[in-house]
Amino acid sequence: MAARDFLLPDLGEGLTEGEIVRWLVALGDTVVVDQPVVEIETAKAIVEVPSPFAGVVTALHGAEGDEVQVGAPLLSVDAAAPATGSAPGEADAVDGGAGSVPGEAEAAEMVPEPADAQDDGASGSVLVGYGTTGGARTRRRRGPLPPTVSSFATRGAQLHTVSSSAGPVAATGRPLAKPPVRKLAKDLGVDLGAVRPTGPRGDITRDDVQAAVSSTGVTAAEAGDERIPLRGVRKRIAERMTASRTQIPEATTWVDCDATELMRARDALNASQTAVRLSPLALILRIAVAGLAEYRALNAAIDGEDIVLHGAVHLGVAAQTERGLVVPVIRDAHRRTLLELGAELNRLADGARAGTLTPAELSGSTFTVSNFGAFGVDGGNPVINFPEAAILGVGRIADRPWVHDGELAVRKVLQLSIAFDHRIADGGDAAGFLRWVADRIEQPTLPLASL
Amino acid sequence: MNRAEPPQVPDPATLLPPDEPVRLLDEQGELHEDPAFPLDLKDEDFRALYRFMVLARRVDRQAINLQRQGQLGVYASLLGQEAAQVGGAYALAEQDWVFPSYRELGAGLVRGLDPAAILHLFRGTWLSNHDPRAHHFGLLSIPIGTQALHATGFAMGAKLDGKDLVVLSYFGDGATSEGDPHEAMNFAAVFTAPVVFFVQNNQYAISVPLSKQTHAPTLAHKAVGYGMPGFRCDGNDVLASYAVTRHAVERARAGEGPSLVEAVTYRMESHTTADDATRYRTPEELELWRRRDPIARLEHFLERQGLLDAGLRDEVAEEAEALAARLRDEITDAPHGDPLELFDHVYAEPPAHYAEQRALLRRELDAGEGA
Amino acid sequence: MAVTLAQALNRALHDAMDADDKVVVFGEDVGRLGGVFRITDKLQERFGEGRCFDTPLAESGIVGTAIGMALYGWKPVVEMQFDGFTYPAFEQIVSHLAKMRNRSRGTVALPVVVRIPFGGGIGAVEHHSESPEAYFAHTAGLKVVSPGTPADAYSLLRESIASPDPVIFFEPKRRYWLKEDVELPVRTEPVGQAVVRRAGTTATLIAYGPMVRTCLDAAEAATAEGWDLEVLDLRSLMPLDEAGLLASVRRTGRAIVVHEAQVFAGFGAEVAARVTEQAFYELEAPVLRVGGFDIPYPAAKLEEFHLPDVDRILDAVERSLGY
Repeated sequence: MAARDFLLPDLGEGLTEGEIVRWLVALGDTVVVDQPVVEIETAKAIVEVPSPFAGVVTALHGAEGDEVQVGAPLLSVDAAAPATGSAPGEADAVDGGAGSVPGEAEAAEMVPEPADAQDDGASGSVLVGYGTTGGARTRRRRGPLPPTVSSFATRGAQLHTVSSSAGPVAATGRPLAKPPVRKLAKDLGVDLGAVRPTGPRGDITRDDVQAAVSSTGVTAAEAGDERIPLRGVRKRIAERMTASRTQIPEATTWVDCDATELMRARDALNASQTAVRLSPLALILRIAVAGLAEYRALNAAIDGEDIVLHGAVHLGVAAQTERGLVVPVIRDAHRRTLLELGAELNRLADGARAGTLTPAELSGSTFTVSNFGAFGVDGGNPVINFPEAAILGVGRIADRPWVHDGELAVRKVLQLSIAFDHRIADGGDAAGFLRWVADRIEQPTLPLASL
Repeated sequence: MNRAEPPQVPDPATLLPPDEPVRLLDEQGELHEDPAFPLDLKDEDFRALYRFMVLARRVDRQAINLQRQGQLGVYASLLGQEAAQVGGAYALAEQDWVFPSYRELGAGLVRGLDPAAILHLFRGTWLSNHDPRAHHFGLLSIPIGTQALHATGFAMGAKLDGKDLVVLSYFGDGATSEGDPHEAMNFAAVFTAPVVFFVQNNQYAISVPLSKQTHAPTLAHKAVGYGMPGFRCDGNDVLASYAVTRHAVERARAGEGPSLVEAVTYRMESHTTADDATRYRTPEELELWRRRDPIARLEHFLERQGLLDAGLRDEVAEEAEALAARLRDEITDAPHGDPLELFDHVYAEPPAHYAEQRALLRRELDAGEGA
Repeated sequence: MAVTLAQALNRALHDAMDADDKVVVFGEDVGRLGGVFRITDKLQERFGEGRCFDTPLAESGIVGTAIGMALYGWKPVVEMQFDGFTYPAFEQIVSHLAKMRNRSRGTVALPVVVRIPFGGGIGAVEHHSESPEAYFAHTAGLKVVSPGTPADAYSLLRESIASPDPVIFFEPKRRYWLKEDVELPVRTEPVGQAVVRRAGTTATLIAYGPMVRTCLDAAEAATAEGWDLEVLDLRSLMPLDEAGLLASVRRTGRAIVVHEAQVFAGFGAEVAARVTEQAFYELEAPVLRVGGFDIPYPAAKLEEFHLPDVDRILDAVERSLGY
C-alpha cells in the first residue's frame, strides 16, 4: 500500500494556513490513529493535530517554523512500511486524566503570537463552526436561463392567437405592455387596445406604439437651444393636438365670401341698441350655429362604435392667451339670440384675457371656431378640437377686389375654412355647411325667410 | 372560588440544599452511604456505569480528534462531566424522557442513542439526526435553556395523559440566567409536573465563571423560589449523581412535583473546539479538577469492590475502541444528503411557491462546476 | 343567524375540543375568565381544567410548554393575550416552533396554534394594537392565517387546529364584534386560498384581517366616484394564494395592498414584489401599498391619523388611476 498524505485540515478556525510549531513524531516513527503528530499554530492557540492514519511516517512536509497551506500535505503515513523509528506513544485511551487536554500544557507555557492579519477574507475563529474559507469558492457554470415560468408566457401566447391585427384584447384580458411602453402610449395618446403587438411575449413594444403614431423627427440638442418643459396646460394641449391628428382622418375645404352686407347689418344692429356691442364674429357665429342645425354631422362625435349627433351646440371659440390656447365655451349657443350670444362672447373674451375663466367655462364644447382673423390671416388647416367632428376657421375681413353685380369692385372679403372628421361627415356636409353660412353672410336678410 | 391564598408549601428551609453537595464516593473511591439518598444498585449496575463513562469519554475524545482533522465543524466536549451525565441519566426508567442541551452525549449513550447522530450534527450533515421517540431523547437544543420549557411541557402532557413518566431536563450554569429555565421551573411547580431539572454546573459558561453568572449561594438555592426542593450533588461522583437524581425522579414519579438537582462538576476542555480556555483559566485550576477525575474515582471504588479486573477493563476498552473506529469510519468524509431535501421537511406539505425554488436549485445543481 | 367574529372563534374552539380529545387550550386568563375577549368562554367549564387552563404570566413559557406538550402528542391551542406581548415568545416561536420539523428531518411535527388578537382601532394603551404578522410570515416553517369575517374565523381556526403545521393565527380584534349571518359549523375556503369578497374592474384592493372590512367600505364609497373596486381577502399570508392574487390583478390591471402594519418592510412589500414580477406586462400602474406610517403605533387619541381608512385607500386608487 502506498503512503497516504494527511492534508492540513481547516481546523475550524477559518485558517488558510498554519505554522508548524513542533513535530511530535519523527521520520520512520510508527503512529496509530488519532495519535497527535504535530502542533500547529492557529490564530489563537497552539493546536495538537492527530493523525487519521496508522502506519509509518514516511514524510514530514515541512520543518518547524514553516507555514503549511490548508489542504496541503502535512505528513505521509504508510501502513505497510517497516518501522525504523521509535515505538508509538500511547494513544489517549481509557486513561483518566493524563493527556486529556490537547496542547493545553504547552499552550500555557507559550504565549501564542497573534497570527498575521489575514487579507484573504478568512473569518478567523467563529466559535461555532467551520468558519469561512476566505479563498475563492468553486463557481458553477452559468447556463441558459429556463423559459419564464410565470403563467405570463401562456397568456402572451393566448393573446397572440386571439388577436391578429390591431391588438385588442379578447374578453379575457387587456393589452400587455411594459411600464415604459405604457407611458409612451399615454403620452402619445395611443390606445393600446388598438395597437398590434409584435413583442416576443405577445406584448406591445415601443416600436409598435411608434408605428401607430406619425413620427416626428427629433433633433438633437444644440447649444443656443432653449428648453421649455412640456408641462401643464401646454402638455394637455399637445396631447389633444396629437390625439386629434393621429386619430382623426380629416379633410379640409374653404370658401371666400363677400361680407360687405354683413358689416352693414352689424353697424345697423349696434346703432339700434347699446346693450351689447356686437363684433362681426358674433354675427358669423350665430349664423354658423344655425347652420349646424342643418348639417348635424358637423356637431357630432364618435363614442365607441357609435356616432353621436349632439342635441345642443356648445360653441367653443378658440382664444390665444398668455398661457396659450384656451377654448372658452358658449353653452347652448343654439338657444341664444344674436344679442345674447354676442354678450356671452364678449364676456368670455374678457375672461380669457384676464385668466379668470373656470374649468367649466373652458370645456364641454361640441363644435369649435378658430378665429384666424384675429391674427390677421385668412385661413389655414385648423386642428380639430378632439374629439369633435369639425372646426370652423374664420379669417380676417379685408378689402379685396371682388366681382360685384358683374363689375370689379372693392368689397369686404372673408375666408371661411372647415376641417372635418371624414368618418363622421362627408365633403357634401362640410361644403354644404360652408356654402350655407357664406350665403347668409353675403345676404344677411336670408334668415328672415325662416323667422 | 377565589384562590388567592398561597399554595401549601413545606417549610422553605426544607427546600434548600445542605451546605455540602452530596458525595458518596470520595476522591479515593471510598463509599460513604447517605440514608437520604440510598444506593439501590447491583454489581452489574456499577459495571454499567463504568462502561458508559468510559465509552462517553472515548467517543468524546474521538469527536475532538475528528474535529481537529477537519471532519467536524466544531464539537462541545463533556470531558470531566461523565459522572454527572451518566449517573443522572442512569436514574431514569425506560419510559422516562431526557431533554438535553447540546453537550449531553454521555446521557445519550445511557439512553441508547447512537453517538454518530450527535457527531453528524456537529459535522453539519443535517441539523439533527435522530428520532426523539426512538430513545426518549429530545433533539439537541442550542439556544441556551429554551429546552427546559419543552421538558416541562412534555411532563405536563404526560401528567394530563395520566402516564407514569418522568422528564429529565438538562441545562448548565449559564442557562440558569436565561428566562426560559426560570419560566420552565415555575410552570412545572405550579402544575406539579413530573420533571427533574438537572443543572450541570461545570463552573463556566464559555469564559464566564459562575461567580459572574449569579450571586445565588448555590444554583440549588434557586429552587426554593419556585416552591420546590433543590438538591446538590458532587457531579464528579457518579454514585451521588445517580442517587440524588434517583431520589428526585422518584419524587416526581410519586406525584410530588418537580425538583432541581445541581451537579457540581467541571468542564475540563474548552467550551468547544473553537474556544481557547487557556485565556481565562489557570493550569492550577485544571490540575485541581484533574485530581477529581470521575472515572478514576469510580475505578478505585470498583477495584476495592473487586468488580474491576483486567478482564472488564480490557473488554470495555476494546468496546470503546471499536466504537471509536466505527465513528471514524462513518464520519470521515461522510457525504451530505441531496440538497433538494432542504425543501422537504419545512411543512407537512410543501407550499406552492417551493416548486419554483426547487427548480432554481435543481438548475444550479445541474449546471455543474464552472470554469 | 347573526354571529359575531368572537362568537365564531369561541364556537370553533368548542367544536374542535369536542371533535378531538387531544386539543388543549391554555394561556393567561383563558380558563376561569374565559379570556379577556371571551374567546375561550366556557371551555374550562365544559372540558375541565385539564384541557383548558390558566398559566402563569409567561409568554415564552406558554409557547415553550406548548411545544413540549405537542411533542408528547397533544394539540395545544395557546393564546398570546395581546399582539404586543407576543415578543417574549418570539424565540420559542422562531427558533423552535418553526424549525423542529425541519431540524428533525421530518420526524417531529408540532401541531400548535398560537392565537393572537392583533391590530388597532380599539383606542387602547400602548402595545395592544400591534401588527407583527410580517415577522412570522418571514419565518419559514410557520403558517400565518388571518380571518376577516366571522365565517372564516370559525372555519380557518378549525382548519388551523387540525393542521400538522404550527399556525400563528391573527385575530382582528377590532372586528371581534363584526356580525355575519352564518350557520355554524361552516366550512369556507381552505387556508391558502384567497377569496374575492367583491368583484370589480377598476382596481384590486388586497387585504387580510381587519382591513378586509375597511376595503369593502372603501369599495362602497368608491361607487360615487364611478370606480368599481375588487376586494381580495388573502385569508392567509403563508401559504399565500399567488394564483388567486394574480388572477385578480390581471383582471383589473391595478393592485393596492392594504394593511394596518407600517408600510416599510411590511407584508405588502412581498405582495408588491410578487405581483410585479409575475404580472409585469399586465400592470397599468405600480402596485401601491396603503398602511400605517413607519412609526411606533401612536396613542389612542392619535391612532385614527395613523391607521388606513376609506379615504386613504381611495386616494391610493386615484393615484393608481393617474398612471
